[in-house]
Amino acid sequence: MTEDTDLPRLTPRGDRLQGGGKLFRRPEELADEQFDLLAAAWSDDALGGDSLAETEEALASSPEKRMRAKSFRQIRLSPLNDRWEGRNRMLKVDPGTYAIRRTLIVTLTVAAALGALVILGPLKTTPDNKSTGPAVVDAYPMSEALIPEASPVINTRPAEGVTSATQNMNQTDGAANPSVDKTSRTLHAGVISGSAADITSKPRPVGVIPESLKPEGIVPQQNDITASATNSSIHANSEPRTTAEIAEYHDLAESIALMHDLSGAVPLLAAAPEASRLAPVELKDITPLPALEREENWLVRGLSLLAEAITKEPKSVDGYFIADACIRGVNRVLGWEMELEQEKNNEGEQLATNFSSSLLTFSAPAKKTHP
Amino acid sequence: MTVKEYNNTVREFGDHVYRFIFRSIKDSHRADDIVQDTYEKLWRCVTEIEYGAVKSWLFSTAYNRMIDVIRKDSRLLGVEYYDDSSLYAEENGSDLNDVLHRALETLPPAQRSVILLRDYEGYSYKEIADITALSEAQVKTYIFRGRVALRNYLVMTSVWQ
Repeated sequence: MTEDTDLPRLTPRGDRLQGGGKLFRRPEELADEQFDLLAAAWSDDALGGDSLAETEEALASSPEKRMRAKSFRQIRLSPLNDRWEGRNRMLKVDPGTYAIRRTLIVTLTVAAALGALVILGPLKTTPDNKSTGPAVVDAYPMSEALIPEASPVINTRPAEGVTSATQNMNQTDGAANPSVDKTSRTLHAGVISGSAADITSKPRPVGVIPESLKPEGIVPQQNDITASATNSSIHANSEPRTTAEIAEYHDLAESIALMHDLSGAVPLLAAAPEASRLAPVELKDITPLPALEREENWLVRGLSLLAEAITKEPKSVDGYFIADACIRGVNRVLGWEMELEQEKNNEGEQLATNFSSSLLTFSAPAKKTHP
Repeated sequence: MTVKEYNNTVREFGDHVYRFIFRSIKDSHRADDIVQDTYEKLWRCVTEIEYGAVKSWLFSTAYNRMIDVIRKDSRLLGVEYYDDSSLYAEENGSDLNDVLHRALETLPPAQRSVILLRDYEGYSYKEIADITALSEAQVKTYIFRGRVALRNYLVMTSVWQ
């Protein structure tokens, strides 16, 4: 193999550019565009080494160029007041806060449910609180229309007054409406067990209207209604109810509801006379229940009656019904937008319960009761 | 990066990224979409990104998304996004910063973006190069040329004599 050094090579001769010195330039000879670019870099502190030295030399030679270069330092943009409107949309809830909020929602919902239980519960059935409830309904005990034979709710040992009231009503009602089974009258009196003595001893006014429902200047005085009811012989205890009286009762209930703009309550107010069509319950079939359980039954069946009377459709009050009512109440009070709905198939079988709010959404499948 | 740190980035850098994009394309709705897309992307890989590097990541991702939008618009409209018909209408009585922002709109998008990153966020040439995927020399060139153009605008509009 031949070494490279062995080959012949050309050696440059001493050729020189004649007049090459004319091509040299000085910094002050830069064109304006070139100088501006250099000045922009200088103002940005981007020059270093020889470039910086030459530029400083050029600036020193010409005050005009120095002023021009310094003007670049003023060309700086400051942020304007631009705000990103969608910033809050992108914030995420961390798991801790999410859990706290979720717990808070559940707590508030439970509190609302308990509040509803306390408000709607049997507190109003005590004699001291009777005046706060709609006495028109109370005059005809709605429990009679609610309690099925299978699980009646009643005291097995009614007071003495109950017996006399039962006898009294059996006599009077039976005379007025022979088609009604007398045993239902027995239950009728027994259900209002706590006030049975009151029923026999003094007639209860029909037209007692809760204070909260009284619009000023529209509602007649309670005494007027009571007097009207008394004159019409519409009493809850001992007076016989003829067809004419029942019709009059309907009219009275409707007029009261219209005065209060409670058109939806008309069926409810008029529901009492229809209760006599329900199946009777024998006292001997009734088993004693603990007081608490009795009150729960009272509440659930009371809600069921309300739902049936207003919608005129058979309603079963279950946990979903109460929870839905509570959620609607919370929405109304707090202005939230929570929603609870049931998924059902074509056969009406419940598939799942869905809950949605701005913070929480979940779907709970229904437990299958049938294989 | 934790959820808390992610939320911090939204609060701390959201406005910065938005104004960078908004001043680059001058369309608030598109800027909002781009920034939102950027944060959606950040949320998808929130566990993979270190909090210290997230600001550059946000600007880089938003810039790339903006370039995609500009290219798409250019294809759809059949025109160059950059409109060079700069109107050197005489500026009078305006704040210099406002005039500069109007002048900024006359620059090509690349120059506009690098100047915004330099002036708004104070990024170095190297950082700007990383965000925009340009070389450092290109970044310098764009910035210096952009500043010359801004100065010329001020002179042409009689703001500067």
